[in-house]
Amino acid sequence: MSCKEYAWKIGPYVDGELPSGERNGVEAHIQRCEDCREMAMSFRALDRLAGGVEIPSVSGREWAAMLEAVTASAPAQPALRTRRSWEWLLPVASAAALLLLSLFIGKTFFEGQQRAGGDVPLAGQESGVSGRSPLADKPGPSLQELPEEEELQEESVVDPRRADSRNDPAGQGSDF
Amino acid sequence: MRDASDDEDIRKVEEFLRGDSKAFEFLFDKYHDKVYSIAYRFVRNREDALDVAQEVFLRVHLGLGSFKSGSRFFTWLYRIAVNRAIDFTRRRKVLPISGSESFDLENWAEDPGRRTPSPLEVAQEREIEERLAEAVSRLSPKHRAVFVLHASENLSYKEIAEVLDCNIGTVMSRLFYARKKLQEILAGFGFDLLGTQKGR
Repeated sequence: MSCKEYAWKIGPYVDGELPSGERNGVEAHIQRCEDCREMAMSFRALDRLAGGVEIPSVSGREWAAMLEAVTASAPAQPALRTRRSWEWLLPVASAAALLLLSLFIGKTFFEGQQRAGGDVPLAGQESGVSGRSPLADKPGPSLQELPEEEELQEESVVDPRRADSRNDPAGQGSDF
Repeated sequence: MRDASDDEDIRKVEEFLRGDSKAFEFLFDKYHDKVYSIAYRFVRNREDALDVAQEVFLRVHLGLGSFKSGSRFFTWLYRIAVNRAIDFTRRRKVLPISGSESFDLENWAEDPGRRTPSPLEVAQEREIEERLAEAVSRLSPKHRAVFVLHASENLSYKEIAEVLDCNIGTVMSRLFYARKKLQEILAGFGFDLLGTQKGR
């Protein structure tokens, strides 16, 4: 290996960060290479100097004042802090609750119309749900089943006005 | 790898998040000297270093909720300290020091059992420290951060890599160039780390 290749290892050697397998090789090179030896010595001297730089002292009273200033500027609010870990769930849970609520209301309304024996009125058609549901006689589905049920209704019963509305992106967007 | 001290830190962070303000005091007491030391080596002024330290602990106090317990607290803390100190030095130009004498750094550095220094020697030591501090302040922020964390705070390469969020190879490279640059700057001041005094 050349001096240039060893140069990269001199710092880790001085710092005790070189793997033991490489340490002997670097040590041997330093013994016979004056430039690399000087580099190692100067790195060591530099570190000692840096470690020796005096840091002005700070009194216990000053630290206490700092602690007080820090805690006064940012009063601890553990309840809020704890909440942060699950705060992200709030919008998700809200959206899910709204979705389920709207589905439940829609389903209740739809079943009410079915029990009345008539076709779904215009309002129902406007919402993209029309005709008698093939599931009308089934017991009420669980909340988890609702989305699948809606798909079935859309596929099995198609109202002409609903079909027209599918060509209208704005109309589709207002379905639910 | 986390040790008992790291685990203790994590426990204190958790206690603080559960509402125990004493836990924050514990962390403050344990680390204020280190944070102040890092800040001082960047800003080179006692009052400024205290300002930086206060800002660091304020951020820690506000941000402990976002600390990820999978990492080590002190590396997270030191990263904030380094970033705040760098920001501070960018906002405010650090004043260069004056002085004209040249000294034998090698003899000063290599003699751990020095006798009680004379007033002249004390003055010389102060100037050497000042020169080195100024040389460090001339390094780029990245090189300065690595050098300060290694040479002054005695962090291992792995710990520095954690603090600066880089790999160990980057730490080695930055430290190498930082040292070479410091040698150049000190040579420009007339100091030779291996003991040769140069006229200016």
